[in-house]
Amino acid sequence: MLRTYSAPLVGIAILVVGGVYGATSESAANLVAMTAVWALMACGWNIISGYAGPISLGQAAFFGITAFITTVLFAKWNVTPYLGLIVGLVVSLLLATVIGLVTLRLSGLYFTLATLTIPLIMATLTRYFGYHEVARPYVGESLAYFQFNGSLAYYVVAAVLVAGALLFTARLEGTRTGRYFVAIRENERAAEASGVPTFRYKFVAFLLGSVFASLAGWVYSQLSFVFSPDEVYNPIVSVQALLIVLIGGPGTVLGPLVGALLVIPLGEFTAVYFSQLPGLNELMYAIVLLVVAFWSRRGLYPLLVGGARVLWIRLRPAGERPVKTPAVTDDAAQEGAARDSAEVGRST
Amino acid sequence: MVLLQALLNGLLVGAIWGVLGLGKQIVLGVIHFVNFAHGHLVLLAMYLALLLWTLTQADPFLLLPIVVVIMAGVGWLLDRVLVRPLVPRGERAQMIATLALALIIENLALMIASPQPRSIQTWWADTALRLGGLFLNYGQLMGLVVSAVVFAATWWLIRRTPLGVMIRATSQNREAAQYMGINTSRVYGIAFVLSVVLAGVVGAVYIVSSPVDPSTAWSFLILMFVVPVLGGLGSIPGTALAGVLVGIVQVLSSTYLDIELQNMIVFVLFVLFLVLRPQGLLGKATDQFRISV
Amino acid sequence: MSAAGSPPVSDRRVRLETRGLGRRFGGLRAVRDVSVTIRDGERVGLLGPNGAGKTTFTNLVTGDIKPTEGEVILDGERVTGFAPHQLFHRGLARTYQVANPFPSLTTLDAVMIGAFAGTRDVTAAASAARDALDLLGLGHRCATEMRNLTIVEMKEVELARIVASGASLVFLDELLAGLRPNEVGDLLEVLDRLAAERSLTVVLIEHLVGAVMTFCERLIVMNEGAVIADGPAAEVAHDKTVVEAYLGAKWRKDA
Repeated sequence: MLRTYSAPLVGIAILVVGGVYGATSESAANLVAMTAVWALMACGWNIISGYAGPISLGQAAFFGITAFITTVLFAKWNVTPYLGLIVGLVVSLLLATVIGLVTLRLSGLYFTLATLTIPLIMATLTRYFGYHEVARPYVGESLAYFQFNGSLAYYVVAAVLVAGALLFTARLEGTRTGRYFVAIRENERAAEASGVPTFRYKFVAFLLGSVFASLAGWVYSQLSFVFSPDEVYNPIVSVQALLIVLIGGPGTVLGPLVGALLVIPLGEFTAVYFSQLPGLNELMYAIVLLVVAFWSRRGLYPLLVGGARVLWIRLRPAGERPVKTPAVTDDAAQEGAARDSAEVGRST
Repeated sequence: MVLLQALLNGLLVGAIWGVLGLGKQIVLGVIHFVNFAHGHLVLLAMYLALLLWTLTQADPFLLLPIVVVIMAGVGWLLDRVLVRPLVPRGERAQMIATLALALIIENLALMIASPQPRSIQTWWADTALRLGGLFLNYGQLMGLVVSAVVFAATWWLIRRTPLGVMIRATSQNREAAQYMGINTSRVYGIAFVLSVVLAGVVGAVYIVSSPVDPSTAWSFLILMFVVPVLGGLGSIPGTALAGVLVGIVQVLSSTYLDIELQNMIVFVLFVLFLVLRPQGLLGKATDQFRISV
Repeated sequence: MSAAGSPPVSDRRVRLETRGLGRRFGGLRAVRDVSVTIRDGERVGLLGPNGAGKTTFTNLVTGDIKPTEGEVILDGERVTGFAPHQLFHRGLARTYQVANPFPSLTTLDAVMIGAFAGTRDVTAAASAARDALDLLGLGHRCATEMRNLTIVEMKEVELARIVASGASLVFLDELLAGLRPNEVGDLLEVLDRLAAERSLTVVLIEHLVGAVMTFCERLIVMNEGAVIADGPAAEVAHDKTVVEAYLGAKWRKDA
């Protein structure tokens, strides 16, 4: 039991530390709140693409639509954001159902492209119907209307949601569903042949991802005073989720949180101190991503863990060093591995 | 009359989309390499053309060959550094790595050129030939001419030269091509460079009539896939046809509906085709995707 | 090599029947009018030169691709066009030419995927998976990642996956590919034991005739998409058409 939840517990500890830091100043609170929002978004992406496989670049659609619905309902009809969230979630799930049913039958590359078009389509429609910039109404400190004077309260909400996401992901890992996801990601065809209804499970993963994206959009919309379609429906939103997860470690519970911790604060830092060079932080992340894509499909997190392990082994006194036992001594296994990489490219 | 003008404009605009799709066809059909930075390579070419024009004030169509040469160099470099290691790694790794490259280019552009849209001022963009009651913008007309030439040249290359035979053979079956003595690595390299060069042509032509800013790259990327899919993966005439079709749809949308909606409608068409008619208009309903005609 | 005392083949229940099964790819007929019947407990070898259509035919039966003509009937039920996972739950399993479909999963995880056919519960699946691995003598390799196994072990894990799922009709696509001659013999012994213990009906898809002869009582030979021979192994191996298909016309008169 503890084993399953050890990762989210570490995550919760990190979130608590974040809360303490956030309490020191408003700008700190804003930073950690943003980080938490992105971590939540990344958790969603992680479920679809980190665990189950298909790379979705359309998460921004759910992020944006919930943000818009909540804010517009609030601004026009004085509907409390809590209700706005419910409506936003329902709409997101409906949207995800339609998008998922249509696009998930496409193979990897075309699925990704199709999902890329969705937020762009939605941005266009939003602008077309007259919504350019929306601002949440100012009502002052009000719990009933989910509005607070400082960012720390938003952080608490977001952190609780992130903790929930981490626990959910950890639990998912131990179920048949979670294992089916991983099998699909590893080899969809073989998974299908092993009895996994791949379409159904990819669809479920897609819906789950949309829920988290939706929640993230909800917090974001109330945290930011004002936003525009271009901002929330931007492909960059989806790509940033991808970036965070891939850097942090796809298919792991803590990957999204670790990634968010690495990416967001650094982004804010460069935005402040290097404001004459917009895009510098993104550039750095892109370079890191490139490195990650080449050297480790598992993100920085396992690299860090592996690196730490190597360091630990080196730092121990010589007598205690474990003797290396290679897993396989057969050169048949190496032959097999070489044959496998040749096989992979071949179509049947 | 308005309709006719719109159709004509669509043709003019669409020609360059055809070239865009052609570049993507080649990299996808021959190397089976997913390049998500392809749209950003067009962006790069646009900025290059802008830079050269700012420095020399020369006619942008005279600058075209220079841009092409530089893009060829970029393509060669990318082939060595990025493509070769990634080809065996599979679709997912290629998507992610080229996505990273796209971000690198986009943010370099943001840093160096700023997010403001920039454009080239030339007489080409502002004057038009008058034919009967119709107007043919010179810039777009030249774009059509360039596209037609490029298409014809590429078609000739693929159909009538020994290199073209090698490309087609490698596209259909890399192993078998190797057994026949074809240096498939070299073919892959040439195909990739060609795809980058074609992207360069699109960029250099497009900047004449439209402003550039870093965010336009994503639309290019999607259009780059839309055109081959609509036309039929593997069919070169199909790409030309689809390019024009996309151009016409865009112009008709902006004339009769709203200029904002033009890309959206194209994207919706894209998804519809992917799901309902993946072989496009002129493609064959086979399981594999290979360059044919 | 069938178990002593089992009923003659013709009396046994029909497991799989294909009627006029075919598949076109544009102008190419990869599989043409294939009608075969496979009965419970049979050990069938599906042979043919490269490109004969063996794998395509298998793909049609196991649901990886849909036929353009004909029908597939499994245990009396029309399953033409069913998806692989649906067939899997009806007892039909297959392996693929790629020896290692799930490289980064541990052996236990990989076998568990198969075990989930019978249960939702993770603990039950793990237990079924362990039993299957023990049956194949791989219990000690539970925690090893698939990519670190020897090639023989990988193939045994594939078999374990099938056993754990409770499948009874099994298509093994090029199971023997990449093995050394002594390894082939060993694996076939393992398969023999497994087939007897679990009452499996096995179809071995191979293009090496000799290896398959020891295990299979019946051979089906395909060439250019059609079945050119179907009968007891000894007869088929000497059939003139078969020899010609494999070796070319000039060897025909020597058969």
